[in-house]
Amino acid sequence: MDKPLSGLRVVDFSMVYAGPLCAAMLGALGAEVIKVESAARLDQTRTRRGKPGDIDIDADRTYHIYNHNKRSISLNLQAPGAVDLAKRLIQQSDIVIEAFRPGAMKRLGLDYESLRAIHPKLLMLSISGNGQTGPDAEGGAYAAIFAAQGGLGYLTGYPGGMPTEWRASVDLRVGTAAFVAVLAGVDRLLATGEGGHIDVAGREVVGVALGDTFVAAQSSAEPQGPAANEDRVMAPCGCFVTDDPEAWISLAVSTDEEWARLCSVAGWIDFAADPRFGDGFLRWRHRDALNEIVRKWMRQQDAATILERLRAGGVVCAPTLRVDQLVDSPHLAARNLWQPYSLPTSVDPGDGEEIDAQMVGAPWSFDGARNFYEVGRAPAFALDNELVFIDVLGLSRADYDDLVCRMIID
Amino acid sequence: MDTLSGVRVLEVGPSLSAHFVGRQLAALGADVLKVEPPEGDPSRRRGPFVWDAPHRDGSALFLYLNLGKRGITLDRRTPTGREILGRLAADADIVLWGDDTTKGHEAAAAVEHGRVAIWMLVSPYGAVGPDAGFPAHSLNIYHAGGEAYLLPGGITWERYPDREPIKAPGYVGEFSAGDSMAAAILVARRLADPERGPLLIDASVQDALVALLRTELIDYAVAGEVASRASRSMPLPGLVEAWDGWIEFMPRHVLPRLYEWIGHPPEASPGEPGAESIPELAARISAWVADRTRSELYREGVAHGLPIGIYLSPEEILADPHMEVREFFTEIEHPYAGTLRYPTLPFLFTSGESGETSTRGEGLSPAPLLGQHNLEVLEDYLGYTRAESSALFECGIV
Repeated sequence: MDKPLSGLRVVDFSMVYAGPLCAAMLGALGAEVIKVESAARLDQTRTRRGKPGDIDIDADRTYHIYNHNKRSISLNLQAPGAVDLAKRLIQQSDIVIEAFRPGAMKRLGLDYESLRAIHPKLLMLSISGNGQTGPDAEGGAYAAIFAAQGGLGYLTGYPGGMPTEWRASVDLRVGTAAFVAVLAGVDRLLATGEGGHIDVAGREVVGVALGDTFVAAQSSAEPQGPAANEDRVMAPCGCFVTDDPEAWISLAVSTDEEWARLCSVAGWIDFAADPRFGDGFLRWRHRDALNEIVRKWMRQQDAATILERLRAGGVVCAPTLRVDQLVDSPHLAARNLWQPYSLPTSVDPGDGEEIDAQMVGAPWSFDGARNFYEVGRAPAFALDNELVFIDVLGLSRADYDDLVCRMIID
Repeated sequence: MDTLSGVRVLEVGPSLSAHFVGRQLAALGADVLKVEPPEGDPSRRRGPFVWDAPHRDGSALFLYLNLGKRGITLDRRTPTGREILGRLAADADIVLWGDDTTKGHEAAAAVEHGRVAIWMLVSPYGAVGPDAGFPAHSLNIYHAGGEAYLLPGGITWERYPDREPIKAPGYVGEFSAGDSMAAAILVARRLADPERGPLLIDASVQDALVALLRTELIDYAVAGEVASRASRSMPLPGLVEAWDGWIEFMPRHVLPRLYEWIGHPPEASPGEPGAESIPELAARISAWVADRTRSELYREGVAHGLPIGIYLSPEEILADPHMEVREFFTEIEHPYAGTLRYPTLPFLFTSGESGETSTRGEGLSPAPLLGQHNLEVLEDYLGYTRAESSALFECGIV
């Protein structure tokens, strides 16, 4: 199958999670992605583990997850002449991705207005916590912060309880939203030849995921607060522990038929006929009692077999899956969600040991296949300097060596 | 960004993820037609409702999720209903099938060779695999996606260590998955060729949610770490209680600036800096924050160059000056619900040609009333006479 984005070149200045993830996915779809770092400023995912100063910067597994399918170059943007080189590279590219603090690209002379002047068809993606504009533009870079400012923290938790701090998965949501925006931009670019600037704000990605809550907050007097696993009307509804304290089952009943099935599996002849639970409204009225009944019952169920019994009985339920269960899931394996990738096991220099692991591939299939999205290697730092600066940009060997000497290419 | 202008999308079935995709495509300019059962999509019965008045056109969820779409009703269980659906599908560019995947396959195969280039099946676990076809409520698919086991985490978990793992609020799971699926549509556009028949996409909510856990998955694969609510505490708390609520404070990379604000660590002995432990610093931060208001802390924290944010409620976000400047909320008038402010897209777009930044959600129509576009679609588009469209209504087929 042809790769969908073959022929596109991306220059990726971004670091950590959101921007790099977006760029890596473009790369897996066939785009040529050039990741720009500097020896003075490496992606933080390279250096988070191990003894500072004594690390193999190409061996951190987190770096690999978010930087597959890329070329790596080194360019010290603070050095004189480096920005001109960057501009030359950008002029030969279709897409630029950056996630610096708003204002930083402008200080370098690499803001959209400057780039558009030399490359009108450029599609530029900027990712930030709060957006490129507005009074909070320069803050909010961390996921926990913009998740809080976006409402997710406040609304997550137990009823009447304290908020919850969100972490990296919010960054991946931002990366995914940015990916959608870039793909839309590419769609437009290929159809019209026109570029543009996409300004993705993490706080707004969170806001869109919570959008119905904002509509409700304007028009309903109901207080908006955390609801844990509760549903507005379904009862029983919740997450219940089995006889294994690490094994939880989520379960919800929305119809009389679903209630009858649960009673059948659980052997609740009395409850099935209990007038307290005769229809959805009655079950909602007595939801506390119902949830307690399920809680008590589930605690005694054998974790190894209860899911199968419930599902066989047609009860709508799902286990609260852990990462080990996801990795070992026969269902996900059958769906070809994973692609093989050998990952370094340690960041100790010279260790060199790798383990066969599985990375997430495309989360969707096209006509049953997922090979339009192919996870490739994450590059060693500066691996592609010569390829990019000499072959792509056309620098002479002498000029290249000179730039290396002067630590502009570092 | 109106890149999908002229693209016709047909949206079928109750999957909220499919609805989210339809909404994103509409926000990008597509012409989205939503097919509901005659009694209305089940999401119309989800509260809260505008004015707290239960009404099939007043569900906040439905109003939000169906911006920009036209809507018709159809009983797809009847031969006539299926025939109408088949004609609409053949004439669409993209079909979003958020219902039983087996029926979706059949419907895709049965479509008369037409314009349709992409047919996406949306389901909780996908169309293929041992768990395919299992039913799932919002709660279930979120727990099956792996993230629930990690929530609440941090000091919230420390406060309630024996309580159950929880889902994200509202429909965050389905909507996040919807984002991934919208990407699938845009990728498929690069490959699809209507001459070859529709490109069939199998989109699973679970796959999309699992993909958000890349870091945790690899930490298990390489280092055997099983992430849980208990494994996500930070030594220096980010979530801290202020006088009037909570803030998120992350000073660990900028301790000198922190000390300038809250004071340097106490000296151990005259002339020697104290070796303040992390828990001691955390306690000092908590005490500093506890007596101050969130807005005061935010103002001062920002002034000292510290990463800080406020745990805002939806009401506060609606009133937030930054969101106002960003024009994050778009005012849209709905014939029943009146004028409300809606989030539309999570980004701004400036055109390279004109240099103009487009206003988000401009021209986006409100969610359709139940059956609002029945006559338009049946008569103007499909060519039924008035007598026929009346009969369809009176027979309960629309």
